[in-house]
Amino acid sequence: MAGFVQGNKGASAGVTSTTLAFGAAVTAGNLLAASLQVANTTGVTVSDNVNAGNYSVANNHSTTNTANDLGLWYKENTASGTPTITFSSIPPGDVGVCIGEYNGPLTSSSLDKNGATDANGPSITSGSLTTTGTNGDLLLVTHSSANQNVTVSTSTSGWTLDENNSPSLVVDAVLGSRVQATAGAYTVTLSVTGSAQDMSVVTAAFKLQAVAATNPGIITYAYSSN
Amino acid sequence: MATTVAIPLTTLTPNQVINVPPSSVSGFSNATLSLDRNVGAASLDTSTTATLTLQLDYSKDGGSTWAFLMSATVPGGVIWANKAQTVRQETSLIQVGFFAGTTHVRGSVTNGSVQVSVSGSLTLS
Repeated sequence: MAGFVQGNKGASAGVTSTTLAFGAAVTAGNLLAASLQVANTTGVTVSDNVNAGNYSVANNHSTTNTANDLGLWYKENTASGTPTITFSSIPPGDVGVCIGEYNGPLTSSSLDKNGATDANGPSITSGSLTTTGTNGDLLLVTHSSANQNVTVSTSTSGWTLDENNSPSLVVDAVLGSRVQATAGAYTVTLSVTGSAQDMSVVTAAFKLQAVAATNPGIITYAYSSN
Repeated sequence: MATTVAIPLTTLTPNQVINVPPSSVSGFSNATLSLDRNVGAASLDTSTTATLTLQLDYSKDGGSTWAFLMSATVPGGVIWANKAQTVRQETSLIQVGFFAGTTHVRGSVTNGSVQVSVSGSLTLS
């Protein structure tokens, strides 16, 4: 079944790189996602210790307001193992990170759509994106804000915040998802406790694999000749 | 109520390691390993070429075996705590929750190639 399998979240202050572990082995072929909130995400790279090469960028967004910059990276078709994911070359600062393992996306060329939205308020709604996945899409969202130590939530139907370290005295960070069964437009709204503030969201859609048709079963009749 | 293991003020020689002893996580949900950036004769803020590594490990069997949980690289020099660069970062830290079944956590601080002064703590909350 497509969707969230496992993840982790954390925060660091005054650092230039940070590494976070999964708590259990991942399944080969799944998609690994990694989100980062920090004052400046320019130049940040993401990698792990079981897959070769850096993660691909779904969207690395420099905000146009006072909310932290935020980025979403991914690794398709992960190898098996228990990865630790490293965010490197972070301009020195305070960061919030989330990582997640997701089942279902294509093992190559899965990124369908992505976008970023900045706004001020007690909530923020992502810009509408229209997916094209023949078999539906896995939708991911991450969020940043100007003021930390607030609780981030979503009430948008179908969406779940899989990893949520808010409220955090360091940096609030979330990674959420929804499985969209058929292609079409989507948005997601995230809210924070407290007063209005600058916020930003990044979303990305990943095309899903075809689900194997359910085998109705084979009925075998045995005849005896006695 | 939080519980804290203090890291006393010390000046680390190059490559020196501070091991913070294991603590039971019973009744707690988060661990924070932190260092003060503005202490001692060779503080992190004034030692611009210094680097340190903070690391937390966890155990699910009472401390017999350990696995990596989280780490971070801490640089020397002044760091700003906000995007507007109006608030100076006085502390470097890592903060993380526990996987289901975790019984203990432990921390370590590993110095790089430059002498540097630090104090800090491991706090469970």
